[in-house]
Amino acid sequence: MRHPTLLTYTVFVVLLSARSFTAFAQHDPYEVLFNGITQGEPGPEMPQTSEELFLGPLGVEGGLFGELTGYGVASVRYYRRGLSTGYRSVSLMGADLSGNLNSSPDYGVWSALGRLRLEESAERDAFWFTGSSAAAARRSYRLNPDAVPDRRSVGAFATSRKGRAGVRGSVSGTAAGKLTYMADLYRRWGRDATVKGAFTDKTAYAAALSYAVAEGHRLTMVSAGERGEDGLRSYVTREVLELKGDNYYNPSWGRQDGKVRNSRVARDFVPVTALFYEAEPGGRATFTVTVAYRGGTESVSGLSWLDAATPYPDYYRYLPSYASSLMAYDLISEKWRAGDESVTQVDWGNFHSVNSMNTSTAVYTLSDRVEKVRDMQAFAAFGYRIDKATEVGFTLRARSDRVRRFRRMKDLLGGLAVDDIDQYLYEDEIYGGQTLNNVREPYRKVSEGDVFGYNYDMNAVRYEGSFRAAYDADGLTVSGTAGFGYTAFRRRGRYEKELYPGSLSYGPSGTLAYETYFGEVDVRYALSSGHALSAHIHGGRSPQEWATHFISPMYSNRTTGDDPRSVTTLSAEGVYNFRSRIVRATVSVYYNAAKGRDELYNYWDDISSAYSAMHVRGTGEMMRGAEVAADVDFHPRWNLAGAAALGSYKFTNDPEVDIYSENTLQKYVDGARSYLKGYHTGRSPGSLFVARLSYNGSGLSGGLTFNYAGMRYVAPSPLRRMQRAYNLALTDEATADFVAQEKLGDAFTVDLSIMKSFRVRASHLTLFLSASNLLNNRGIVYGAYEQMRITRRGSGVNAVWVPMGNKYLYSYGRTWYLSATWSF
Amino acid sequence: MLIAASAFTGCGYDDFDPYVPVPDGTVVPNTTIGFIRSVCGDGVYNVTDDIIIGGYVTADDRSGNIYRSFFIEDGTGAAEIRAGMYSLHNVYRRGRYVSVRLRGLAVTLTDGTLRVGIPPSEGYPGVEYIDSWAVAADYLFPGEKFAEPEPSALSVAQLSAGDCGRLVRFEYMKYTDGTLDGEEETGDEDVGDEGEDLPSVDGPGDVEENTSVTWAYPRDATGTVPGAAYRLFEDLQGNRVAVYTSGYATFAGNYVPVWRVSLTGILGYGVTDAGEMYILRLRDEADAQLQVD
Repeated sequence: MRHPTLLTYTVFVVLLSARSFTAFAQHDPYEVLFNGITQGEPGPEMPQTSEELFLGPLGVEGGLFGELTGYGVASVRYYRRGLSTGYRSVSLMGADLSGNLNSSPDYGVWSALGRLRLEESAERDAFWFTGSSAAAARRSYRLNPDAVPDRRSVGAFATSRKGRAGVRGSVSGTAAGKLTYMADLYRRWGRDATVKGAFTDKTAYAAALSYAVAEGHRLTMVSAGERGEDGLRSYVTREVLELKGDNYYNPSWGRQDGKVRNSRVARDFVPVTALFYEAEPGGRATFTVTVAYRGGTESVSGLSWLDAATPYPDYYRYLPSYASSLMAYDLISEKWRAGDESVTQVDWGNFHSVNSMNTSTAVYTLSDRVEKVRDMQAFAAFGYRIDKATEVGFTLRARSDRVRRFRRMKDLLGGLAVDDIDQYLYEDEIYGGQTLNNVREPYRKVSEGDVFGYNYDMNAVRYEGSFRAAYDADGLTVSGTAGFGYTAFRRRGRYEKELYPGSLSYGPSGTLAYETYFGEVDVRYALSSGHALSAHIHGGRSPQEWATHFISPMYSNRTTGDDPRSVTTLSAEGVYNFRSRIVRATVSVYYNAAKGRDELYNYWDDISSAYSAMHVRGTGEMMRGAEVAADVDFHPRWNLAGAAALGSYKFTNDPEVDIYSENTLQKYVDGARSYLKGYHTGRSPGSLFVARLSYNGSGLSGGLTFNYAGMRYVAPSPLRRMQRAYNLALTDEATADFVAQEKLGDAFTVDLSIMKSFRVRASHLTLFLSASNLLNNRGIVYGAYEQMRITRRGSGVNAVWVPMGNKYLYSYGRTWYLSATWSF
Repeated sequence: MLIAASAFTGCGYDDFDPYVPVPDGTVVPNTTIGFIRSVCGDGVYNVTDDIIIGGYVTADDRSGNIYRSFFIEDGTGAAEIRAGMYSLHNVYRRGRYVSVRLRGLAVTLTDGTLRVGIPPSEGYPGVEYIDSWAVAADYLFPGEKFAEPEPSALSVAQLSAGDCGRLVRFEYMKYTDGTLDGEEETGDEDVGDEGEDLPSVDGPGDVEENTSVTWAYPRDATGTVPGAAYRLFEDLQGNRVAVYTSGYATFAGNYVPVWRVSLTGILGYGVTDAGEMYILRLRDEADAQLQVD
């Protein structure tokens, strides 16, 4: 049996963190990269049962390949097999941690649970599948009282990234033979050493209690959450990066009284608590019930302005490329290159100055976009072993979610108050007389802490049931699962907007409902003790993202249609696993397809000069490829491991596009096409290679990892692939600008880690040091996207329309991390 | 315990004391606008000397009737500062003292009005817009002083070219039936983008007090392009002046008053369909005040 070393476990924890940050990559790729790394304790053993041979199929979590690739590709946007968070699910003792109204799992809770060291697995169990047919990737946590050590530890760490320092304490054990407890408290803080304005100040907790009520009956409670704030960085255009000469330029901050102040700060605290009862009456049957509550608030701040110049320094009109004279071009370029902060950064002094002169209403303000989450769910599972080879089970889930969204005034920046009017409509020549955000409180003055702008609830319910049967004998395991569900949601406006009178904005919208289902077949066959084959197929229909149903979700109840269409997903894979005394290897081929997915973009349409909503209907995607991974213990203390993947992640059709005016809610483009077929989704690299050489000595271990990611593309904008955009391109060169999809450069990094452990009587001290991107490659683009904006350059007969530049976020150069942990 | 205690405290990365304003460095004029006018003949002059002028802002772009410019006066004359950005009124607001460093800029007299802007590219007939906040920061220096601008009460008959660009007021003006379509000064592409908000003012007054003629032609629900207009007014002696209103002005769709009014605005001179004449540009609708006696 293979026993993981301390280093293996540490890498395992980092894997978790790496996955977490991809889920939240739009904020910062290194958001939680080092979450949970301070533990220096050997963790629970990796799955060592025969199940290990089969892990990693449809679920793209875990497995040998996942173990090797998760951390190494942290420098680029990476979703294994091209499956974004919308296809993933995370569950805690059966409770789905993904928001029903937000398909991405809660990364803070996810990380906290990882530190608590609950038993974690890629789902393959009858009682734990989530039932969400869209979930091709699954990860579940549960408390296994038999695997909880009696241990206490404290630790501290320092790093060169944001969250420069941290401390952590944890305790676990058993009391009176019946009570098992685990608790972990974690705190990190600090300003980023590379990206100015970025910072982290967070505290996370996780706790679990499990009580054996009677023989075969156990009650468990788990609670976890993370509270704090993050100063964010932003994607920026190539023009800005070249002018600034700094790939880590962040336009979001400026100086206030000499101190760096970030305008984009995320705050959140959405803890989850689950109560779990399990019973095994009679030895043949198992029965579990979970009730869970997830509630809290998350927000992101941003600048607002009314009848004033855009406050963000990288606004396209402020850049040299938009200068109307050579003199202006030269002067602006010079100021950017010289790093003149009055030009390159947010000007808090100007905001206060302008506001102090406006006594009637503040011109520039800082406000939070807030989400208040309330999610309740109940889950029950029943399993029965008919005979030694056959078992059956079913699950039921009921879930109610509510998200209240609103804007809250954070800082009037020296102004006295602000009118609660629509800042974008205010300038409109036709509808500028209908600017009241809420006619039920007309002409209200908004002070700091007040809700304003928009204010609405999204309510959703979901009911699911599933049935599973499995046969396991003579090395053959066959299981089949079928599930059915009902999902419904609706919007309820708390404001009656002047532009959208009555029920068009106020009160409940119509209810949008889906009937969903999925089916799954899983076949595994052990050819011998070291060889196994498996095949899996999963298909189903699931709801669209809720926001795609509303033309202007923030303000209006008007839907994009009364008859919502489901998303159809199909996943299949074949896996060969090999294991000997010194070698583990896996080869897999996979195919994932999604059809009928909708998207909604609320944006400024430059062609029609109108705030618009683009409803892209029926997008198809296909993600297919192959993965290989191997791990060789070629020496008692040395191990060599490698993983490689080749995949193709593309759009498979030209979806229909409707475009609505946000002012009238009327469709002005009906059923046009976005010619996306054949474009790369840009979600994940098409090729990937990781190699790791590691040493595991007594008390000393270390590893050197080489990572490569290639075939990377910028995520395409549907607007640029429409005929209405092509019509503006008057030359072949201009057309090529609209059609082209930028390929990003390959990424290559080398990482190093060393761990030393000292045993002192019954306790031990562990030191861990790692350096990422050892070669200090500062030119790796983490991720990029195309803007939904096009612009006219030049004038008269020389005027040409061109797409605005793509936006990029760069990965860090060399960074280091050091931790010390004392366990006793 | 230490960790537990620290869990309830923050590092204050996003906590800031109330802002303490830092006074701008004062840029003191070393000559007058009147002097610049006097030496400015035909054509465009690129200024190469260290010349600084200054004055109080008499008119800004708040209502949308003045486009990407503002006007200053110092008692000796007036100048139009062709700043070129949008929403200028938040910084170069009416009544604020603004100094202008002319070195590197260009000046010209256009229809009697002194204009300050960027040296023109080849073939361009006047000065160009500065067009950038970053560039403007090197030339335009808003100060701490404020004074509500007082218009010069003039009669139409006594106007001279030297009055162009000044804030003037005419008494007892009455709208005549003369209506002339104007040439819109703005570009369509600049309208409606983020942050370029135009304020609204009160709607048309009592219909009985107004004609059925609007100041200009705003965009309507069908999306027509806004159009500017001249409205002819005459004083008690029958001297006429044209009032120019942009279709983008917030009051473009409001009715022109039928009674005699005082008219305040920036004076210009130009060619209309009714011939060459003085042209008045109101800053907002409040610049037309009813005079009943």
